[in-house]
Amino acid sequence: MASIIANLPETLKIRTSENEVVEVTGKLINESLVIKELFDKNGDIKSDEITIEVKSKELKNAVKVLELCDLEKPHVSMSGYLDLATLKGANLEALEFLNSIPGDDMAALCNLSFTLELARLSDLCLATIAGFIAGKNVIEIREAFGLKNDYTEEEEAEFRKRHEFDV
Amino acid sequence: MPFMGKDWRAPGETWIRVHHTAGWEQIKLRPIQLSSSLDSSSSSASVLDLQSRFKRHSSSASLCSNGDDGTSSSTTGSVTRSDSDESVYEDDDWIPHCFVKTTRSKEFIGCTSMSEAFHRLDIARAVVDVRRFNYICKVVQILVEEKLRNLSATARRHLFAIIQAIVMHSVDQDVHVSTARDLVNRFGTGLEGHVYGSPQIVTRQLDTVSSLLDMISDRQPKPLHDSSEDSVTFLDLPREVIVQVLRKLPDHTSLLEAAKAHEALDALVERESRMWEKLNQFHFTQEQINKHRTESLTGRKLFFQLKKYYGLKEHYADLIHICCHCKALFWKDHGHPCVGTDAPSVRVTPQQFVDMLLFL
Repeated sequence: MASIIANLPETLKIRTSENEVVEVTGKLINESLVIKELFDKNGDIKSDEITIEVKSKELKNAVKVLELCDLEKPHVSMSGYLDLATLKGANLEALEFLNSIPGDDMAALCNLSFTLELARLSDLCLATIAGFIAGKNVIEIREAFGLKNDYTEEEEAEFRKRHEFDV
Repeated sequence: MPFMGKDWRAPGETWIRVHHTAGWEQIKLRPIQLSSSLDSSSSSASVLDLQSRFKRHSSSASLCSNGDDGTSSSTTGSVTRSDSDESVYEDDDWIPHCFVKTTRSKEFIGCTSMSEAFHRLDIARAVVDVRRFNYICKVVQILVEEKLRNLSATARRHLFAIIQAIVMHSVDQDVHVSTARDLVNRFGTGLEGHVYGSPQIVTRQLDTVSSLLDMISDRQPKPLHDSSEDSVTFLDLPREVIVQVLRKLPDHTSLLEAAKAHEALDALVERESRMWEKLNQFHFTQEQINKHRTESLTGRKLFFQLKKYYGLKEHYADLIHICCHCKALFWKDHGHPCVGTDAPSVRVTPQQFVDMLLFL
């Protein structure tokens, strides 16, 4: 089946920084502005492979998440936190996968999404991470992110005084 | 003596013997009542497990009903309602909706019994829907804070079942834990010091409240920080990415809690005026902002000042609407079977929804 996106191939091979080849479809290429630009730059060279300095594991995770999304529907960027619930409701499988991967892989994937300008994946990663903070208190947030309480007592008192009117 | 039902020829309600309550309960209210029993062995039971139990029960409880043409109509996995609603529905095709009894008064929209509304709008299962979770939490919060003393025992039991579903979902998914804890605490506090009918039921509910709080405390938080030296952690992300995450938080409370958690996040929350400007623009009109804005006020202080004057805007991803034609309550995203085509509907805020309920 020919790719529905003009000028993009059916599949493309991406060679990662670890010299591993990951195959992606035209739809996935269409999601990333960076990959599309790279492909356009290499357009004169008849090759179905490009090299991107990314880690294989991160790229494979990104491909996996995007395969779970409905790429036929154009992505509307989340303008604010109120779209978060709508985004989550429309991409439950992808979010389930994101919730299942380890924390460091999650952070690395988020980084990758911004590097490759994958807007849909970026929003999903941000929604997932925000979900770990929303509705939790300080102790729970620290537990989730492995943050240490570095505040001294004086700093805590100063912090409370600074925020005493924040209700 | 005449039969006390809508139609004296109607078979009436269908009841089933339930062992965990040592009594009889109506089959039509079973999905909610299944989640009422919480024992220690099922402390880690997920809401999905409750749903699967509901489905198994539904298929075993399917009844044969004779339609007008005399043919029997029963399908495996469907529940035939034997009350006033004559429609036969299956789990997959049934659209949650609830008709409201109306009067001629223009000021009074209508009312419906709380048990009926919770069942027909499938509130128990809607808890796991991320779009409706906040709306349901707000409804439960209003009922717990303002109406707990007015609830009948049955209504209180249904409300508590919803709270249990919220807790199970929060523990299972490790989301909105503070919200769930707060609701359970308020419910437990509300039960104390007031006579609510049967002391045995109240004692049992208070025991369950303790179990729920233990479940929340004992839960294993899903950590994002398992990492080796080479891996990227949350705070290693670029500043712009962390700011984007903070901007996606659903309310200012989460923002402040994140700020208190770490000094790096506090610095970002303090210095990112755009974050607070966006909050101001969402919750308040430009006129309100211009009226109170001064040069000395930061975006953050302006937000809290405006909040004191005008309150915060309520916004939900999915909420209940009422159809202007058939007076049915329904979830906006799901729609409802209406006789009128393209009938307009009006949004129902959580407070308005609670005001419509008869606490039976």
